[in-house]
Amino acid sequence: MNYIKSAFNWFVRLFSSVRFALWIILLLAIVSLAGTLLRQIPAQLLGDPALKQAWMEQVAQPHYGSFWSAVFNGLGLFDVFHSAIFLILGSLLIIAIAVCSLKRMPSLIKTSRGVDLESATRLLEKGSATRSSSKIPAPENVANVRGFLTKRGYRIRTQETPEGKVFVADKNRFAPWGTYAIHLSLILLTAGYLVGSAKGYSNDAFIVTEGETRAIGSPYDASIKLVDFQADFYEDGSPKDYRSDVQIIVAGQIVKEGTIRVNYPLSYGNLNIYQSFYGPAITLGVSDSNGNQIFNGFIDLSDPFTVEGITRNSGTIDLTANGVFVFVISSAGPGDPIVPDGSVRLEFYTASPDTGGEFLDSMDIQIGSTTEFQGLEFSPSALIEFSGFQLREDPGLNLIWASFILFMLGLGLVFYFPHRQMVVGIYSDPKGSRTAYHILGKKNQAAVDEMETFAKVIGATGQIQPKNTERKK
Amino acid sequence: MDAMQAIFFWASLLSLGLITIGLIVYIANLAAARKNQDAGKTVRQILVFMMWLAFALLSGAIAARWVATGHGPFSSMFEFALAFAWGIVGLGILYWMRYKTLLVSGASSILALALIVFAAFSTGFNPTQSSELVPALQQNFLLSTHVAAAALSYGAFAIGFVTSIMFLMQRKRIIPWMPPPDKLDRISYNTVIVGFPLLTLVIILGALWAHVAWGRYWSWDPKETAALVTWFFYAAYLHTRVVVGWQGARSAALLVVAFLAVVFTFFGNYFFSGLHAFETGG
Repeated sequence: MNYIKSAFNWFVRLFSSVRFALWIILLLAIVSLAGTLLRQIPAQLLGDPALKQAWMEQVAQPHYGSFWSAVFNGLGLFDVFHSAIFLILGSLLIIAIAVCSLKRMPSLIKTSRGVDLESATRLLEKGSATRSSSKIPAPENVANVRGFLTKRGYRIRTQETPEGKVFVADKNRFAPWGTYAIHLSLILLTAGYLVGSAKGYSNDAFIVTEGETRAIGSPYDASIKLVDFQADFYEDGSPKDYRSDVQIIVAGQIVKEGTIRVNYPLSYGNLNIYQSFYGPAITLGVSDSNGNQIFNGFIDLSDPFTVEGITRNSGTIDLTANGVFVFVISSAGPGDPIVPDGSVRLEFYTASPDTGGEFLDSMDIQIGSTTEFQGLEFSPSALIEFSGFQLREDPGLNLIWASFILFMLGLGLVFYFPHRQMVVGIYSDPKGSRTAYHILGKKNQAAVDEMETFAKVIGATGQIQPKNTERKK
Repeated sequence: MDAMQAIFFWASLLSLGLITIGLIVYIANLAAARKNQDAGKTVRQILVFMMWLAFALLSGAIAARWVATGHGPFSSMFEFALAFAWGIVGLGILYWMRYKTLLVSGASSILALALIVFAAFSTGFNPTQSSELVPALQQNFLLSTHVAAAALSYGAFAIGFVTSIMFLMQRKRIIPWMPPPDKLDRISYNTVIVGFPLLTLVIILGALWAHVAWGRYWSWDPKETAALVTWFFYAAYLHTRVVVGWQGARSAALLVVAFLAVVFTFFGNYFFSGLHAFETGG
């Protein structure tokens, strides 16, 4: 049992130590800095080992060399914010904050109540107070002190003693809870993040082409129809605005409609739909040699690729059941030397090149016309647009916002409403008043300034030093 | 409006340049007169006037830019630099009013001058050059409050940096014409209790905006991560100071390092890719 108790004490001592917390903060800063300076693997590649390996070969190794790429990768520095070291440090910090907060709670409750009158009187009697004599008679000085404290918003409690009167005054007594609020907010922030990660839903690339209705899929029973897509451009060709008119459809019924723009998402229940990206799409019909339609729909050309400095958009249609896998490539613009404006290029493979399909042939086809390949007829009928949305549901979000508010409140309390406690005894004296006073709390200039003003009020002089009565950590 | 932009911009640069020259003259006066309290009184009055003038001119440059582009001057490095300089000079005046340490406010203005020179370079000496706002930046309220808070926060940290450098030079009270170390220490602490809540607000507003624009309150974008690292440094400063009791040289050294993180974050657009890498020119 002793072993468990001493281990527990060691744990509490370690995790409530400010130095320990500071080391963790410093290490987190260093690790985060590594995440800023080193290239990070894009999130969408993380789930696919092959894509991750391709990123290592195409991005990391040319940049950092094979040796350092291997070292950085081994340390998890190409995905720092999901790495074990970052998660361990983050967890240690949260545990430290929680332990520290729990440990501090009793003393905070005591501080909020204020010093009791008996202790305050003893404090003055012990001789740790600043003493002065003034010619101001005791009753006037009592009024002066009361006036000084009231004017500055102190809560005043008084005690009659055989020799005179003792004031115990405090201001902003809940301010020390500000630190507590800050620490609690960090715990809330972590909880919000964890709830969002565990219970949330996200889809970063939900693509719908104009006129198409696409089901969101599990766990939602809704579909999104892109009624219309519009984009405006500045003179230099950069996008000025792009927006999607959409309908949310459930069981064939429109349950919501609206326009989604960047900065103006649309909400459906707890799901938020964000305008994210856009690009060209085509409508395409494919028939076999018997005239049976084997495909008639939309193809989003959302996969860009660059050849000799020209970026084109492409999409795919898998017709391997009919002997071909097709890439559909759109023109980069009116001046594209490869794919003329108003046309698309079809590239035919035996299967997807990613799975080893071999190139068969390619041909350019005017939108609105028909071409034939291996008995299949391809009829692109219209060049339209697709819209890319981000879908998000984050049940931890309210915790995140609450944590932010709590953090700012905590900062405000700590920095701008400092806790002040003052004990003043005024005793009658044949020559006037004898005053003993004592300020509790940390030494700082504002407290010194306040005491100097106080000293002037009671007619005392001299350098004032507030006493630091806080417990050492 | 282009002419107004150019006039205010170049006049701001000129006034900050004159402050720098005036500061050198002021220091020479102080150094020559040693403990004479009236030393450099005229230069001091001129310097204070020049700081107000520079602030008015920078405000004019920002206003002219705002009218010309239709949005707050916060969408490019040129505009950030203008706002940052405005924050430094504005807070410099406030700190002068509170602490009467003209050396601190004057020396901070040199940082503002450096920013304006950088801004001039960033546009190829054409301060009327501007670029259009990408859709994500067309969020006037969050854009303006997010970057205005950053300008003030960074302005406070810049003053804290200057004060810390002075403290480190002066910690043994060897330069008689400089403010006493305890005063410098107090000012630098005060800059953090102004700047840190503002930096926190910058991060919170940024998270709120990212949520509205992209659906993610945090993306580990390099610039937001750099801002977080900066925040860690100042949080460490406050913890070491308030809880552990650090003061003086160690605190000052930490503030110098923390401000380097601010500079790194500010210029991050030049070497980061990511959501904030939208515009480095005008």
